[in-house]
Amino acid sequence: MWRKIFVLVQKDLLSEWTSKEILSSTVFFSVLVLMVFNFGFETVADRMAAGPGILWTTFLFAGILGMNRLFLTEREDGGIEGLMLCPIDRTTLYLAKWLSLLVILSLTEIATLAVFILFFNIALQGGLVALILVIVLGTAGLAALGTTFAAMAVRTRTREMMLPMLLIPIAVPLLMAAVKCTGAVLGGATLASVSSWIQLLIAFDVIFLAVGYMTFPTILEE
Amino acid sequence: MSTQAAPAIEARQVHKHFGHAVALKGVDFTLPQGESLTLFGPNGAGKTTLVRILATLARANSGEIRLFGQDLAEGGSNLRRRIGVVSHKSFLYGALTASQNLLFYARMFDLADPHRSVEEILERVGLAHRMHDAVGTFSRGLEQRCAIARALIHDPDLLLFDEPFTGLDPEAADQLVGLLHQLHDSSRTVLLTSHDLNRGAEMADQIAILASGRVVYQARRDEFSGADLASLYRTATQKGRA
Repeated sequence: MWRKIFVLVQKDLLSEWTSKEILSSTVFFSVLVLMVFNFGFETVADRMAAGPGILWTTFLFAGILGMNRLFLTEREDGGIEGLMLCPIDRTTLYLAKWLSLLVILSLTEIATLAVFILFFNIALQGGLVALILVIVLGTAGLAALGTTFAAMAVRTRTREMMLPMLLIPIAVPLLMAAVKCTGAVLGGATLASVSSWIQLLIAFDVIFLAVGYMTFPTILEE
Repeated sequence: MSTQAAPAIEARQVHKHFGHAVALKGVDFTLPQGESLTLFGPNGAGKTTLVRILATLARANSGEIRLFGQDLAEGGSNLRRRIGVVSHKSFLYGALTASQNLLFYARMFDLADPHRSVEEILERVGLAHRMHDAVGTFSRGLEQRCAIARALIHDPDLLLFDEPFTGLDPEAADQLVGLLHQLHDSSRTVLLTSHDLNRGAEMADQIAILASGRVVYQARRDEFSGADLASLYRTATQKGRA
């Protein structure tokens, strides 16, 4: 199974490396959003209080853009059906798409984080590793939800609207936890001080990875 | 082919509906191994739905389908190794080259020497000279040839063609007919759906007509003449609607 997942992820990344369709749009979109927030909050005294929310809002909207694009590429020429014709369990497809999305979202977030640090004049005070951990946990959950819902939404005519409508309400606990943890790290606190939020992030990831893994074959066939 | 061999396709009372819309209303037919069958039918008759079910892309709501004697519902990924599908969609990635696309599928099907298999199949469909070009730059005819290479790369026993002539110009359609004749000669089982009565009948051992979700006519090729086919089709589809 893992060898097939590697082949599938390699195909997604090769396709993205060649076309640069997803990353160019998500990174450009993220920079624009941060620019708007930067100007919008210019006169606010404590900009850092809003910083974590701004960062995760940007991750979320850029992520939705990436999720839609990743599945649209499969949809356009029937690629997802080509994958369904392969002699693999369809749950393998879920794990591969989740991993591809995780890599693409992570690359977008690296660029977004660099611009965020620059615009908001952030000094990480040695909290970079903790921040990366929070971002990885948050992104894993977003990718788990995104893989499930994008596979559903891409079959509808109103896919651009359908994905955020399905994803955002369910992602609220994850976003709350990620914002709290990011705020703590940027404020110089340790992750131990927000351990309950970290536990929520981990629980969210495990639950929605399991739900996606179990429901993906039905979503593909129906 | 041994007469004892299980049929390549055995469909019994296959039903499929999408909400209130009924696509298949009890499809029954049998296709022996090594034979080819062309399925005709008007738009909305259920041809694509039937091919999707046979290809394991969708599930029937009821009924039984056996491929090579194995229950389709239980065969899963093992049966998919024996099936190749060509539809009006190519199942290829426009950003990748022909060889990258085929190499991907060769690896997914665990072929022993994927690079060699890709070279051989591209040679066979006459695309070796374009192997390093992105599929997105291909004409519809070339893309369809590449799609056939994708469907054949794992040497399947059963080939399902869903309206493969759609969008092809006459020259590309003729080339496709040539390829289909080669495949028919290779003792594979072929099921093809088409609107094109002449082309479809030309390469089939049997024809069947699907109308309103049912097989309303099935005959061997020697049981009808080419001239009769159009009126046969009209009568059968009217009977299906009645």
